[in-house]
This record gives sequence, structure tokens and C-alpha cells, in this order.
Amino acid sequence: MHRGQLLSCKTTTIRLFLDLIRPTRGRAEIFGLETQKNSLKIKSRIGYIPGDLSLYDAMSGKRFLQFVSSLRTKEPVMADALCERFQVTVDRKIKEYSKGMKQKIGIVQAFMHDPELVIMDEPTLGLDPLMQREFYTFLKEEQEKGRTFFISSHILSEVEKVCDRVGIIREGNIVAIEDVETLKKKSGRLMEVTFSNDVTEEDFNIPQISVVSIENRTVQFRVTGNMDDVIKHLSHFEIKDLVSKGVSVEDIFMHYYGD
Amino acid sequence: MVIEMKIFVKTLREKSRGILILMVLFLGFAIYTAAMFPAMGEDMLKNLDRVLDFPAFKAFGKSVSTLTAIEGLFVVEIYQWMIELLLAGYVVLFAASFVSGEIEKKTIDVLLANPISRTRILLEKYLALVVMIVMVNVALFIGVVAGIAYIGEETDVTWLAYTHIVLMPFLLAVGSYSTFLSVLFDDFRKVMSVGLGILFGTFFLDSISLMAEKYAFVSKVTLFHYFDPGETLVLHKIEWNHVVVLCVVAVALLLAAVQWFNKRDINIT
Repeated sequence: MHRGQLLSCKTTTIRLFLDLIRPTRGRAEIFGLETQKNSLKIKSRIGYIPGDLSLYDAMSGKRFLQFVSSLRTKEPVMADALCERFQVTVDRKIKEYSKGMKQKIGIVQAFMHDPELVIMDEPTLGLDPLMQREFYTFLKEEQEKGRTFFISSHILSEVEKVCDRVGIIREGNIVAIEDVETLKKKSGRLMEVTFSNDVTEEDFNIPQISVVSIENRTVQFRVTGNMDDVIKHLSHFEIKDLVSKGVSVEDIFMHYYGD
Repeated sequence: MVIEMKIFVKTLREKSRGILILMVLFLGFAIYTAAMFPAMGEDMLKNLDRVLDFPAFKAFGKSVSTLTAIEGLFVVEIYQWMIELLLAGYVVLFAASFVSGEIEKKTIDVLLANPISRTRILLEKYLALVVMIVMVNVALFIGVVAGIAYIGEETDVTWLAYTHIVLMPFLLAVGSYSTFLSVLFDDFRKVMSVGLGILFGTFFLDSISLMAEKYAFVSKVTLFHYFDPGETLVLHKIEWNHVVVLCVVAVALLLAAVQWFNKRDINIT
């Protein structure tokens, strides 16, 4: 399994990894083990933060953490440190907790037994901005120690901050899996050019350019390959304004899902 | 670390208040029924015997033909009503939450993310059900013995104990079908409604079928046909083939529930 993230069919994919649902065809592997046949072996090595996190309301935070750790094969060696770091109050009943506090309990239970891989579905949902920042810092530290994460998030800035590799699934197929930086490089740059005269899509019919949109005399296009050729091509037109920027993961996402 | 039976403990702990209330209720009601017996008067009890002769009411007494003996009164008042409807109803509710409750509350994801098999989860929950049934059963037994001693009557304690033993397969069969429904449907309220519907529906089907001998065979499709506490307590007889049928139903439905739980997808919405 890789550090990375997933941008579609995400919950289904994660549920498949955890053997909560079974594939109608194909297979998934974690640690080189087939997820359905080796479900318990895999689960003994991973942590999981569900997207729609729900805990046992009648339990206190402490009893909940004790309960889940009793179902695992590894000791909760990180529990105290994590509770302290994320300021988790463990003595109260879970039903009395705020959404953010429940989410923090979710984070603690996923990491407390020092798993090799943590699968996270929208892990910062309900966290306040300060706690989100603390969580990202924590993830960076854990990454440096060699821990692997699998994150699914609709917050694409979060993905850019945290992930090394990104996987994009469309209609059940992986359409891209790359290092975030490589993917951004491959995706080139985005240009927005406003021309003095009317233009059509045919005016930009060179391999380095793919037009994203034309609105009035303003054209948005993606540039891949040699920038020099693009500038020379554009020099045939009278230009009023030109903005060029690197693509974000969000732009890449829109590129794959835009049509 | 050794994996303890934490799901079993958690299930019992969650239901501890309900179990305690039921134990006190059964114990108290048994003593109250016994205490009431001397005050009921022979004429009234004989009138009740005549009522039992009517086919519509015979079903409630089954093997019991007289209430003038305390065992008969216990069978009609406690073993038929309290066990067959009240305790069996509680058993349905207890088991209904096993899987559908976890899905409805969306806690199933956190539970199944741990290295513990679905089979083990269900069996530990079922074991908690068995312990609950034993606890309430023991409380009722103590209540009956104490009640009889209180009014200075005598009964055969061995056959009383046998009566409480043959209660078990009946209640376990009820628990198994409710467990199966809990695995089958995601909606807890649906499981509860269908489970209680089956219980009450088959109870009345059994009762009505016994009114006409021609249709008595219909009662064979109900669990109630195979459970007659009066036969054991009053007539000192055990229909072992009926006990076997209930045991087979309990085991078969539990295995079916385990099988289905292992096979099914878990989706929360």
C-alpha cells in the first residue's frame, strides 16, 4: 500500500480494503495479501478512521479506547501520548462529546496501537482549524518515521499537504497513480489568456495545448511539453492579458472529472 | 495480548439494567402468584378449570387441566404468559440489535476494523443472550421455590428444575431466529417488528389451531407447539423429540445467521 489518496469511489474502495464489502470482480491487496482471504491478518496491522465516524455513545472515551484495544493484537502504546497531544478528554461519556472531540477519539483509536498503515476517510472532518494543523504536523512526523497513510479526502489542499502519491479512480478504474509532484509536472501549467480579437478552438490546434474553456475572448488552456513552442504560437495573436500558474491537485482532479 | 471476550462482556454490560429489572420482576411475580394461591379459594379455581375446558382457552393451559394445584396455576400464569410472551419478547429485542443495531448506529465500521472475525462477534453476542436467559431463568426458579415454601405447599423440585431446563431450547430458538433477522435486515426497528410479529403471530396461530383437532397440525410450524411446560411440571413428562426439534432450530438458525453475516456486505448510509 502506498502513501497517497483517492479521489473517487473512495469510500467503496476503503470498505473493500477492510473487507466490509466484497468485490463482484477483481481483487484488492494490502501488504501483498488479498483483502478478503487475509482480512484479520491485515486488520491486525492497520488502523482505520471511518468517514462517517460513529462510536459507542454509552461508553466513556476511556472505556471505548480500552474496548477497541482489547480487540487488537497489539498494545495501545501510543494512546496516552495521543490523548495528550490532541487534548482528548477521556473520562466523559461519548454521547456528551462534540463532533470534534469524537473525531479526535477516532484519530487516537486508529493510531494508538502503532499500526504499519493507517487508512483514513476524511480524517479532519469536524476538527477546528488549529487541531487540523496539529493533525497535519503529526502526520508529517509519522511519515518521517516511516508510517504509511492512505487518505481519502474531498479537501484537495489537505491532499497536497499530506500525500506523496495520489491515485485517481474513475468509474472503478485507476486512471492515474503518481507522485503528487510528478503528476503536477506531467499535468503542466494552466494558462488564461485574454485576446484582443475573437478566437476559436481551432486557433490553438498544436499538441502542447489543450483548451479547457473559451469564454468571450478569454481562453483557458492546459500546457504540457515545450513552453517555448506555445509562446511562439501565441505570438501570432494580439494579447491583452496572460496569467500562467502551476496546476493544483484540484486542477488535476477537474481534468479527470471535468468532462 | 490475549484477545478477551470483550464483545460478550460489552453486550451483557449494555443490557445489564434490563436483565436486572426482568430478574426482579420474575422473582417478585413468582412469589406474588404463590402468595395469592391460598387466597383464591377453591370455588374460583374450579371456575377457572371450567374456563380451561373451553377450546379457546385450552391452548393457554395445554397439558394443564386444573388450577387447583399450584403447579397448574404457575404454568398458566407464569410459564405460559410470562415466558412465552414476555421473556420471549425480550429475547427477540435482545438479539434484534446484534447486527442491525450496530449498522443502524454506524458503529459496525469501528467494530469490524479490528482483527476479530464476524463469526466470533456474533457468537460472543449470542453467548451474552444465553447468559441472560440463564440468569432470568434462575431468578424465576428461585422465585417459584421461595413462593411455594412461603405458603407451605410442596412441589417436586426435580421436575420444577426440568421445567426450567426445557425452557432453554425454546428461548434459544426464539433468540436464534431474531439473531438471523438481525443479520438479514439493516433496520433495527424492522427486525424488532418482524421478530415480535412472528412471536405473537405464531403464538396465536398455535392457540387457534388447538381449538379444532382437524387443524391442530398447523401448530406444528410454530415453536410453541414444541414447548409445553405444563407437561413437564404437572404431568412429569418430557417430550424429548420436541426438545430436539427446538435445539435443532436454535442451532440451525444460529449457523445460518453466522453464515449470512460472513457473506454479506456491510453498508452504512
